[in-house]
Amino acid sequence: MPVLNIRYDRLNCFLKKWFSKDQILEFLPFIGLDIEDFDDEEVKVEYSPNRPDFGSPAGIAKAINYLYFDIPPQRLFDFPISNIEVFVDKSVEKVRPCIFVMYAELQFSEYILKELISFQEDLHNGIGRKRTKFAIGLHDASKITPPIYYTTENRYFKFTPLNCVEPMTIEDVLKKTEQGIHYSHILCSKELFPIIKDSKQQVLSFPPIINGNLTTLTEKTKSLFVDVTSTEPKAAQDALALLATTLIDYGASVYKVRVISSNKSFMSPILTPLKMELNVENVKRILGIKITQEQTINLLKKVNMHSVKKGKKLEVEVPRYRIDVIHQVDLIEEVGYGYGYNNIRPLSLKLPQLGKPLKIKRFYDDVRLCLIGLGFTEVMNFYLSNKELQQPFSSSLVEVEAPKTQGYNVLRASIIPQLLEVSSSNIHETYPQKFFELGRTFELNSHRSITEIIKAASLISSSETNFTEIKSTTLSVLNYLGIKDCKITTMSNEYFIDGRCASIEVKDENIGILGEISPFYITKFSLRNPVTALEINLTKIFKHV
Amino acid sequence: MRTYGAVDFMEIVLHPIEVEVLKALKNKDSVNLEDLVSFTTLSIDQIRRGVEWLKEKRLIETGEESKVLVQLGSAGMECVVKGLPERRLQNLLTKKGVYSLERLKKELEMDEKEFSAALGLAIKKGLVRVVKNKGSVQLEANPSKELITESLIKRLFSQKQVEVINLTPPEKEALNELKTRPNYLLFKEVKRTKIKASSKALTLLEEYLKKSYVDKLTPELITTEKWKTVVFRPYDIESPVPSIYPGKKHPVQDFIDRVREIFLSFGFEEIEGPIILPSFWNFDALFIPQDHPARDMQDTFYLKGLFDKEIKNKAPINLIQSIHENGGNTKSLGWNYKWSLDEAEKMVLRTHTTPITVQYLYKAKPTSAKVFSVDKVFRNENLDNRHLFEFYQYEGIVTGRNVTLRHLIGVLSSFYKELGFEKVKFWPTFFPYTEPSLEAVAYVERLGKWIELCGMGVFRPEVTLPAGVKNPVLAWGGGLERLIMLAYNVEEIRFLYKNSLSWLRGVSYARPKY
Repeated sequence: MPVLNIRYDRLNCFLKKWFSKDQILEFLPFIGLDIEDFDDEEVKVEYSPNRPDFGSPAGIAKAINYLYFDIPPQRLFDFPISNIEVFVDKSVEKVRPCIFVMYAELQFSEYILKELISFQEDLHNGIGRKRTKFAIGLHDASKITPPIYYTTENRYFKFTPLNCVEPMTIEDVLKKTEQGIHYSHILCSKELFPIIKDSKQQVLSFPPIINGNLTTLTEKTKSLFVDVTSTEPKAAQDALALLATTLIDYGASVYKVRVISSNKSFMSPILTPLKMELNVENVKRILGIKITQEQTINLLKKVNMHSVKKGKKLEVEVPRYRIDVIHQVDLIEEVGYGYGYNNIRPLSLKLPQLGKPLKIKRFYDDVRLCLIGLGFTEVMNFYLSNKELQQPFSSSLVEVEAPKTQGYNVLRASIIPQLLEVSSSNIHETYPQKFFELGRTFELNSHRSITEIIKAASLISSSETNFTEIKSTTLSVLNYLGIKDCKITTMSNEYFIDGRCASIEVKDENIGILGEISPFYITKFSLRNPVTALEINLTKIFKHV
Repeated sequence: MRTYGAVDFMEIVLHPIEVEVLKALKNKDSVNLEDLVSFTTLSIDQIRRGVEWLKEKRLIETGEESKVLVQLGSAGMECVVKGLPERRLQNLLTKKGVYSLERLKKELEMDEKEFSAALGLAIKKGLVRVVKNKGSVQLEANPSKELITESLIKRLFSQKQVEVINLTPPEKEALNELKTRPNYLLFKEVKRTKIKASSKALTLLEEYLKKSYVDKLTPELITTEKWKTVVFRPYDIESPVPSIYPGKKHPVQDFIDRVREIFLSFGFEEIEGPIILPSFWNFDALFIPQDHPARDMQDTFYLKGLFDKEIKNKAPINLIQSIHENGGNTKSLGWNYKWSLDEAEKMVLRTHTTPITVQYLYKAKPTSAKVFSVDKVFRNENLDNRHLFEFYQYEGIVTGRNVTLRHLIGVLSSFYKELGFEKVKFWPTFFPYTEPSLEAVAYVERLGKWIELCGMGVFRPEVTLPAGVKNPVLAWGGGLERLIMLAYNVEEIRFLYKNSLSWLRGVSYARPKY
């Protein structure tokens, strides 16, 4: 989730009324922002990735303004046309075909510069999915001599990239700059590279890698040229619309720019709202509130949405920057948000039905009760465990890809190794130590499908424990569960002393293991007392009871 | 600490060990604690314990006595074999007759300082005398008997160590002389506890002995009916006893059961589902787009080389594909991208409990239902004080012809009230599969802030329509551990799974106060 640090004074620059720090902190959750942290100067909020318009103080202030003050919806449709033109060369078609641009006038400052760059980065990383869906270039327009050309160059083409002083070849940019190394995988071609330059052959940008140094934004910038390039138009148009709206919220004058290619010509940005139908009956059905069409129209104003009656339904204009609205239910949410969730009175549910626990859970509880009665304390471990520790229990472990936490790389096949770990971490506690765990284990079948098996395992560590004690415990549990005819036969397992390890069998099927843990493993876990353990397969036993 | 000051001493009960100690003290002025070992059959540890108890009960007076012990040092030990330096000087002279000083010094292997000290002492004690012969000075030995210093060294050697106070007056004088010589003697001071029984104690002892208590009730006493004639020794019921620990449930399991009980009491049906499942159920069926960051390997555990190639035969993948790409038949615009079956086949460890619910919807297609589940979910995180890579979620849905968001708020308000949260409110938030989406938060007095309880909302039509469910489905789900941390006042999340026996043995399941 993207996070944003907002200064209270910056937010107040855009709010209709001056609000104190405490008031701001109180409002933020009501527009759907999670407060991560705050101090006396700024607040750190987490905003939802489907609301990129919250990526600047201006966007957040706009939402607060609409929610708390009676403001007519923005209804942005048209802008003046700038005299800049962009010519698209045919060669970009196979490399990076889409380009959308705009021109804007705005007096920059230290804060605006920082905030817009952060907004751009959040777009890149959020809806741009780390620049794979589009790349944005922001340029100081005063450095450019129109018209602008979107074309391709080969790897030997030289220009001075952002924050560099000397011209570099494209090849070097890809190999030697941080951005080149990071983003070169997005490029479609290894022969031809997209380049945006002006009529003086000065490079604005090498999308999606890096801008040219020439058009770097500064605190003194007064006019802005924006390009958004991509392989597929939808996300790039969304990004440009979001940028245009945000610039307008900052007080900029936005101008359309004409893009001309061999077979077509169009203007951008396009901020025409999406028209969507809303049935007030559905609002009532979902939110459960009594509401009229007029009230709904007024509540939609609180989210900057204009709507009109159209027969029994409403026709709602969804502003272009609200890319999250894709269904009527999204509008219903907007109405609920305008209404205020805390104004919705709770209603008790009248759906008579008997509570019905899972039968198997009742069975697990029986096992728990029995082991607790025998003096065992329950422990709970992770299902993820260590391959080396688990291998003696299964040759077909289920492995996870790229675990972040070292040492947890397989799903456990047995609980016993983890019980030994528990004893190992409690070596200084009083003995005897008796504990158990009941939980899932995992096995990979021959057809590479996975069986999830519930097992119960228990462990005794004391100077006195021996095979007799653990066998008595096992039989006691099985008897409690109603298993009368089970066979204890000899088997061997690396964790146990040979000749003191047994398989538990019910109707010729192995349902568990028990015995004395071998001193090799006792010492491997830094233990000093004898240890005995048992493990039974409850999934199998459940079939027999 | 127990006090006996205010207790009438007649209520004081003697323990058999105390009785033994008092017997040994009886008729004696005052006794050293160590000496009691020889007067009783008790071990030194039992005596110490008994004395400690008696002291607490104010039945004995104790005082400290210190004594000084002396033993031979390294130079003293040497003298046991070689003799004192002055004696060695005399012995040499006796053997050789008259001798010059230089030759004496050489044969005795002494340095200037040692020799002059030995010479001075030999003359002073009359072991040798000075003879002047033709202008030169010579020495001659006098016959003499054993010196007191020598007999003292012998005594110290044979007795290992001697109490200074027990030495005779001439021995003490010799001790003073030897003290001036380096490393001849070692002194050490020993403190000892002297004990004296009080008159109260002796009265109690008398009474105890008169009564002839029986200590242990034996099967024999019962069957022979002897119990009718004996008096049982009253125990000191306030004395501490060893700790023993009951077997019990893990606090996390106990909390899971508490949550289950509440849902069951609300008339909910419990459901479950597999932990390992294809991405289709964990993500696609929930309208989570395939390029959503949550589906990244950085966040989700994928299983090495495991795919569900059967999913295309078991689930309506064409329907889901069209819904993702353009909304399909749901009147939605969809996510506008190319959906891939390969992505949907990848097996994952479920990242939330919602697939349990969704699979239930596809299977049961209920027109009305109340179901819940509490189970484990996985996220590829680094284990630390704030993050776990596996944890528990509780989750539930309500569906029916006339259910609305108001019912959802109602159910959750009651649920959290049962759990002990009085102040609960609801904020807007976002989830890809619910709309509207809310977050329930509770005010926690102890922390002085609002904390997140769960996410909730109404399932989107893009989720319910392909399952064949037409009525609104109210849904919620939240992490359990943060509630458990509050209930048990645990600050680090991973501590919950550390299985510290001292915590597990000591933790109490009293009703939590947040």
